[in-house]
Amino acid sequence: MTRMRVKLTFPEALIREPIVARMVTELGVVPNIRRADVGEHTGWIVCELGGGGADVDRAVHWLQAEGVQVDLLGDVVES
Amino acid sequence: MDFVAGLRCRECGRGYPAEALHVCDFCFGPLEVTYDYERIAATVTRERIAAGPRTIWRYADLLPVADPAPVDLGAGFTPLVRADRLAAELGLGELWIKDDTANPTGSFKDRVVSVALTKARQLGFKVAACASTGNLANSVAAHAARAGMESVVLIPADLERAKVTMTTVYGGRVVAVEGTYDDVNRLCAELTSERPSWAFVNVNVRTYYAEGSKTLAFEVAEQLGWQAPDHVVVPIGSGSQLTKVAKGFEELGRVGLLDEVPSVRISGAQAAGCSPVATAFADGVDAIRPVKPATIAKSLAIGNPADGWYALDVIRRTGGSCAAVTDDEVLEGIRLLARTEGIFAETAGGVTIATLAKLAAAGVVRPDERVVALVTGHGLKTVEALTASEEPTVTIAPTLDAFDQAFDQAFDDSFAEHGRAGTGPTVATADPATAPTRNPAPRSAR
Ligand SMILES: Cc1ncc(COP(=O)(O)O)c(C=O)c1O
Ligand SMILES: [Zn+2]
Repeated sequence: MTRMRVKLTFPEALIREPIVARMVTELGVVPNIRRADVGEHTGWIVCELGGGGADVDRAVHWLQAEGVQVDLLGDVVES
Repeated sequence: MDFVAGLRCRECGRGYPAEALHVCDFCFGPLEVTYDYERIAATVTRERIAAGPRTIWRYADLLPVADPAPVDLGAGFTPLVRADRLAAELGLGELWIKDDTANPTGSFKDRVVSVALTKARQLGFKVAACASTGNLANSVAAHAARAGMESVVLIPADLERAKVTMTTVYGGRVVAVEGTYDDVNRLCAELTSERPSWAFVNVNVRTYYAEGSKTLAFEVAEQLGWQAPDHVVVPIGSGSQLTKVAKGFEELGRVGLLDEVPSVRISGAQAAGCSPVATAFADGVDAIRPVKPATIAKSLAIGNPADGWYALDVIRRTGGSCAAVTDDEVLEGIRLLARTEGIFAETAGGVTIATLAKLAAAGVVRPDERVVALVTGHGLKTVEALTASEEPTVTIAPTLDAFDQAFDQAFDDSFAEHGRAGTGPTVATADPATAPTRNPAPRSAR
């Protein structure tokens, strides 16, 4: 199990898309949301992505490919 | 002994010990150093500070690390210059330039790096590292050399030549990354968890690093005779410096070093090609929308500023403003400062001066205010921004005739009164009794 702390920043075009839901259903990675701010033009979510190590990495690449900016916050915790 | 009380999350307020931490475990918010201000107030005096070194370390009581031998190249205590000629051009009254080009590696980053590496060494880090838009790289490499530490700096691959040379010369390893500063920063965030012995000064040591910028406020107040200015104009990259300048003035009031609790308006300066904070300010929104930078002000080219929201908050809270200027205005700002005050700033300084001009023209920075503009980096670092347009006035053969001809043809009218007919200084005739005798060297001795 890997837990990766990230800030996901969504461009305007993606705010209304169910990106996080797709990440859960299609990639099996679950966000534990700590802080978020989603407005009309921008939105961000600070969360911990939990899942198998390879799944989390794959989810990060998938989010980036979808156009979400992924910034790492602090350490990746392996447990 | 330092006066640090601990670290506190800027988002949820949870407390942590002053260790190698930078994000809150609970909400992942950034951490901030807190102090025991009552004990500081009981200890610190203007005299105690005046007796200290002529560097940032004279304010050690208000810094997050105490060390009798800090990692120090002499950062800080830079000139605060009264700028009457510039003020006249801008229609302002009392204007001062805080000339941080005079720091050891030519930028204000020496303040933050001296603090960061002193703390990093105390915490047991072995390697000094950073993600940099250039100036930080210079400073980290130099201070690491001074401390006998290894350094590794990561920069965007398109940086100015001088900023690369000024890093490698100190023995720093320079990793040029194909991407923007924001890409470099992200990579460094990933690297911190992989290399626990590396102190990335602006990532995992950021909490301590940032405190170094408070010394700008401390110095300005001390140099003004322990008075706060009315308005300060600060360039914004990540926004860290701006927030800490505000914190610095607040702390001076809190520990009783100023006669009254100061109220200082803080305004931010950005380049139009990278202005996420100025845009949010203009739009009246809270969210900082990340941008892809395109500006000659590379030291400020941070599209997703880590402290952007906090900087915006300070600007609004203090009644300041925030504006952005075009690259042409930046160059004009550099020239204006150099021409009126004899200070050659890098592009970030051009951003500050051009923004000051803009805010003055708009009546936001006012002639009845005591104003300080922070000029944070030296012009030689970004000389290529100007070289295309800065040519010698004229190029001549080494003869008097050629000079006279050039004078007539190439010097503008403002020089006319300084022609050959002009009068020079009056020279008192020497008293033959006291004048030193000079023996002309015999011609044959040449
Ligand atoms: C010369 C200069 N001025 C100002 C800044 C902006 O500082 P900050 O990132 O703390 O906003 C930087 C670096 O980012 C810089 O190199
Ligand atoms: Zn928190």
